Amino acid sequence: MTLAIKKLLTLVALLMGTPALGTAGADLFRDGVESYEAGRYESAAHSFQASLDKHVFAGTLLNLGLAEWQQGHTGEAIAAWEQSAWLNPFDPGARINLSQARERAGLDPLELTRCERTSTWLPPGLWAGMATLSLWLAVAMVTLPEFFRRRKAGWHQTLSALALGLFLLSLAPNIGVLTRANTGILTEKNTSLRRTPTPSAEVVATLAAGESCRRLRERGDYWLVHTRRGNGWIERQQAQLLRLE
Amino acid sequence: MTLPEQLMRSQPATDLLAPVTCTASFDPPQIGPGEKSIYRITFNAPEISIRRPEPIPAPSPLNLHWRASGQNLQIIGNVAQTFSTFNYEAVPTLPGSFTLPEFNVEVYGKPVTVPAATLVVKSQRTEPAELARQLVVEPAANRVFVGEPLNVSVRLQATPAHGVEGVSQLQLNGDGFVTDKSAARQSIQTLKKNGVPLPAFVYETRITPITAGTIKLSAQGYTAGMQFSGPVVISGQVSLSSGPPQYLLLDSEPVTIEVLPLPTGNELPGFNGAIGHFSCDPPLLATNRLAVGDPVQLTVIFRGSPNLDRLHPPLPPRTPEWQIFPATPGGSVAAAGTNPPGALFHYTLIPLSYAPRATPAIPFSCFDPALGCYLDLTIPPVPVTLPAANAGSDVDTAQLLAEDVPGSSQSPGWSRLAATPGPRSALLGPLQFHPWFWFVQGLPVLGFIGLGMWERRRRRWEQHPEWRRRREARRALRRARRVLERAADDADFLRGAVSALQIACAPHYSATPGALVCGDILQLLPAAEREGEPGETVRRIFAAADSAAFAANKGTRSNILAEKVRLKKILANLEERL
Repeated sequence: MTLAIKKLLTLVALLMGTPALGTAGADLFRDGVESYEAGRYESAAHSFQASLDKHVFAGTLLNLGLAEWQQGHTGEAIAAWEQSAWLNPFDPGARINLSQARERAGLDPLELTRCERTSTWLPPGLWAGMATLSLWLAVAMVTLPEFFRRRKAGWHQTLSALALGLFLLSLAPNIGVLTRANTGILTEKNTSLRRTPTPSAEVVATLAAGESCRRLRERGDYWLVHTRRGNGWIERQQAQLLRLE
Repeated sequence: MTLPEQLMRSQPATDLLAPVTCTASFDPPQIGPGEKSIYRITFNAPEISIRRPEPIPAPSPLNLHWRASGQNLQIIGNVAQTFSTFNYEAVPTLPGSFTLPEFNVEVYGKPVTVPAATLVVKSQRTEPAELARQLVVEPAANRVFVGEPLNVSVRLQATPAHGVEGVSQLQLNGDGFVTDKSAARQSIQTLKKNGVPLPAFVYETRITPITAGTIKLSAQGYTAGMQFSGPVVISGQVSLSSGPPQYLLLDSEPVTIEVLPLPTGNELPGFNGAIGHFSCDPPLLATNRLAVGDPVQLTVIFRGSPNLDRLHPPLPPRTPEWQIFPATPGGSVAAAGTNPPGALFHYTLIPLSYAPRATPAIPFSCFDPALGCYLDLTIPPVPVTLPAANAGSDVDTAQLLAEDVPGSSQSPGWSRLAATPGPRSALLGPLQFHPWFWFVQGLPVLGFIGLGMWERRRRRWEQHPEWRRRREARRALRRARRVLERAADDADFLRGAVSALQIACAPHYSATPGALVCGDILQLLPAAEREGEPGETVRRIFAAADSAAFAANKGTRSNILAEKVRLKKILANLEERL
């Protein structure tokens, strides 16, 4: 993907919705940057988190990950960078940090299916918008000339075929977005993977902070997750999903 | 024929059809007062088929007490026969000759006669005293703890009348203990009895009391001559007589063993029932340099008591940083120097994180009966190293952070701190998870449905134009009638009335409403109405309208408003026909 296309897609993503940061959010972001540069990483993390509570921005998440990493919070840092990459896949910063952090922590990257890997090329919203527009464009190009008693022109059919192709191509990434939304990062150190969703259940394995998991089911305060060490139950607050809610 | 079949066929047949016979005798038949004689009844039938004779009809004051019973297989000729023996003890205190009369015993449900037997009790005997042959049980200790292994020896002393001979089918009778048959040894030794060295057959085994209290331990077995069931160690000068064995069921006097419970309240961690004097060698780890997820073997050697084969290694503790599999036995270790023999166990450990700096201690303890207390044998931790390059713990992360500062432009491999918040998606989760996304998908659907319906109606009107004319006429007529209602003078009324009549009739002629004249309207009225009052009303309205439009004297009053009610009725009838 060329840089020009990436810039164009970023612009589209921006046009899809870039609300104003707001004075308070901007101030918090600036405070965070200043604290980070002064070496006050805990304060920086608090400022970035407070800014995120108002509006979620990819850059704020990137900085939050750096501040968390500086405090030794491997899980929180990796989760923040994954979320930043989820929001803005064109920014290489989050990917560089993820690669570096995982290499140093001896962690494996997320296990993604082919659909999910494709879905990382664009922001999730863009895939959904692309599918919607292309589908209805294809339908419109087929039906509207007839409705308006116009003769079907060649460009009608070409546009319809192109839109239909785009729609079919965007189906797999959209499925990938939906399944990737259930992946998460363990934020708690030595997370116990339990056999049943109870506090006294047998511990199947112990997972390090920053390891990835995939949520399969939910029961009460527990998630049934799939990890590299097998399936098991973890407490809800021990992991953070990639999708921002 | 298969090998098992060949083996089975090569065995002598068991004779179960032979008539049941019985022998009974006192051993020895002549004793002194207060001495013991064994009354032995033998049947050539399995023990299970015999209803044990109880009580024995002994003449007073001779009392017989049951001691032991057993059965063995003897080869007679070319067939094997099962013989069952019942031993009763007789200790007469008065001299005399006591004859047990014949009596019947039920075998296979049928009576079998036990022959009479005589015991002579003499207070003064000329011949040397012959004592009843019996086994002697000698435990290594009479006071042990529950679970403490106890060596027991069973001895059959040679007598002047009977040389040394082996004992087969030897078993220990009693409750509250288990016998370790794997520890059994048999030997022939020369032992002193009343200062006289005599050879004896010695059977040694080990029992383990399993309940606290008192154990009454006795033994029984068959004399087997020189037939030994297993290896036998002969020490000293012993003369062995040959000849076929005489199978006699012998038993022993019971011995009492006091079994003490283990002290409670001060058990040490890891106690799993190990009783004895043990020690633990320093554990050996296959390698001290580990990687997360890679298994490593920890070898532990326990030394001490002879019952090492019954030692169970401690279960590993559960720790979030290690996955430890239960120990597997690795065989025995020979004694070396002052070190007693030992038992070797292997634990497999897998580090699950980078945090541990040593293997976890594995708690273990034993109870030492000699000291009467618990001993701590905990397997100590072994230092390990997890390479820093793979470290992912917070401690290691902190060490790594000292090397570089992510976020600064000088640190390679890390991104720079974002100077601006950057882009964000208006929607943080996948659009598909928002209900409005699907609602928005419905809008184009509704639009296309609307377009389709519009097109369909348009086509229908094209096929049936009169439908449209009538529909438009109905709408126009409604408007004209509203104008008529509001008409305040004759001129307004006439304009509205003529217009309404023309609108109501125009679809029937496919004509413009303004083109219709009075005759056209009257043509649409039924014949009766045309000639009647409605027709007259229409004529008057059109005449008044013509007069108002074309007459020279326009100011003439025609009082046409009076026709309003009748006109409404005419318009209603015409509207019904649209």
